[in-house]
Amino acid sequence: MTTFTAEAYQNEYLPAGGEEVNAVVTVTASDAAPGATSAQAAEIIIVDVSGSMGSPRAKLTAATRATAVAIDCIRDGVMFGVIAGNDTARAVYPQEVRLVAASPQTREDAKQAVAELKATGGTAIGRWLALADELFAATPEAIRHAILLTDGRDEHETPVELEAVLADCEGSFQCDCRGVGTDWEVQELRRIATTLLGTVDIVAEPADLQDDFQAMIERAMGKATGDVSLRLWTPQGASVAFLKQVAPTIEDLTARSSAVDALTADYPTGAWGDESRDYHLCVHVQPRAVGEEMLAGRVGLMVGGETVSQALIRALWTDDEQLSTRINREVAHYTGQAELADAIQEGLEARKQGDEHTATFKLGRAVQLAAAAGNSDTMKLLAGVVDVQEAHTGTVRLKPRVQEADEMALDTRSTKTVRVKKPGS
Amino acid sequence: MSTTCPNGHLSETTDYCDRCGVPLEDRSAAPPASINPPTPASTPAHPAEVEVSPDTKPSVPAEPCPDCQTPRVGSDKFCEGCGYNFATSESAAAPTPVRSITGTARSWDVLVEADRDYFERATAEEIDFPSHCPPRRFVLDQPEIGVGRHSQARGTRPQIDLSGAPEDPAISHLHAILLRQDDGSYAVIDPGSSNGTTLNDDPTPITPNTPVTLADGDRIHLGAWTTITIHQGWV
Repeated sequence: MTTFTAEAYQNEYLPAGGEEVNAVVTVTASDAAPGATSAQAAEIIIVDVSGSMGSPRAKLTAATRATAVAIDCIRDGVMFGVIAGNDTARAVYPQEVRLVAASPQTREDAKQAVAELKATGGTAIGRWLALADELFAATPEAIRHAILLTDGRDEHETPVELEAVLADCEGSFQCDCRGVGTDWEVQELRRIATTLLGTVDIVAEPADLQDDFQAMIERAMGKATGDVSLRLWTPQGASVAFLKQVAPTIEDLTARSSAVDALTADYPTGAWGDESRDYHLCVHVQPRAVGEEMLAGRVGLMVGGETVSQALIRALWTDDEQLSTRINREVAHYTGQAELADAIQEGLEARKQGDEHTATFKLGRAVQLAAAAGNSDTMKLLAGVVDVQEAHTGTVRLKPRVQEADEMALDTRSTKTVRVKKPGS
Repeated sequence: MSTTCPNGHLSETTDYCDRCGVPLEDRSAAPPASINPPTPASTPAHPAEVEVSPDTKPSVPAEPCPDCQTPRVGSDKFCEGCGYNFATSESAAAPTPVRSITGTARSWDVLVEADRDYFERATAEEIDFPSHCPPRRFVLDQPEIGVGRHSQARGTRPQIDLSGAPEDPAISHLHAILLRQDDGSYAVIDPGSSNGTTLNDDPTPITPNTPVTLADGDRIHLGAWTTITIHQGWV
């Protein structure tokens, strides 16, 4: 049985006339009996078998091996299936439009079917997702998760077709996306992963796929509670400037809201295992008089239609500048982390456009922010793209030659954040 | 269980009013200890109540809405700011929370709405009018305010960001700019948006890159259904 807690961190004091209320809400799910999850689950692995997967041949071999490892990690009883995708989508196992319960026998049969995959044809990711959606439709009660592996751009359908499929799949299942090699489009996979509440990452070396697939499927099997949403109430006259997940990765949820009533909206967060996530909320309220207090937001966690925990965001107007100018540590930290992600993405984009001045400035700022906040993984990735001369001032020089894989890794992982350093740790 | 807040709202929650967020009596009786954990050390304890004397009532001629403080226009039944019903509200007689207003500067704000009239006369059939689109209000507090949809790819985030759901698909990333004039009022500039910007009932788009001064109540139409109405606040 998973229990949820929500805690708010903020400076609730606003100056006279102040209207922007910021808070970081930490949501933690903890399982009293970890590992003993009894939640019903459904898992689909989608493997790209387009022609390019066959060159070099190692790519398809690595993908099928990784898929076999992932299949081995699927718990007994979990409904699962494997889809092979090129310019069409094909159910590889079972070879019909349904999922089967995992057992030693079905896992063996599935691995057998995967080992026989051949690389041919184009890439139409929307059709793969549409088939997954169709397969998942038979298990509406289960926590539904898919892994999508591709090595190329979505070339054999129009962006409009892909968008239409994404709209259909949104809320139906979660999907983690992985790009192998460097011929795929970061923006495209990020768009799919974000819409389907999943992660996106690069696996530059096909040989690394096995570990990654294993980690993803273990995480998916650890999810005990599906369809959790944040329910946000704000007072009359207020507007939500943004609601972002800020840890472990940055995901802007602002546009994902569905209205419950005039003052309340739900934001999807997908399935939860034993984990903790942080959210940054910014609400604009109608200012009240100095000395007055207002509840600026009520953040509840909705599980199975019930509120299981909530945190309160307050606003208190004061003319004491000592109080109103204080910046909450958590809010400041995540404001910096969001700026870091933006600086990386904008810097890389400028570099692509040949605007070296902007690229140097943005990536320098990213180095400065990453150093200050202790994003050591991000620092390592930045060092693949720039020569760092002085981290704390953000003095960098663009590297004349950059490995494409390094650049894509920096781009895909730019939204990974670190949490606030607790004092003494 | 429900309770009535000082502004006259019937609230289902007993800690703060579930409409206007004003603190309620029961808040101290049942502190949500497990819900709102110890705030970080940097956050000080609850401050002393500051007394607000009743003679600091706003010196506005119009009656302010008890919910959002927007001055009532004439004898309108509904508040322009939040739709508060002046006619039927119990709170008309209830003590209105006093709001001290400092300064005499005029303040301007805008109300952003999905406008069916504009949609029906201006927009092609392929686009559907949104079934639910809550009105949004933005205070004009900067000399230059961008209106549009934020773009992660371009790294732009206009101050009046209209990308919230449901998104008007025909609005450009930077669609219009509101520019403060010397007298404190605002002008609108279309910096060359894809689909243009019109004003009030005139179907001809305004000339790009040419400021057009706005008066209280002017309606800016953009995108497929979005209308932005500008309001002059209290003095």
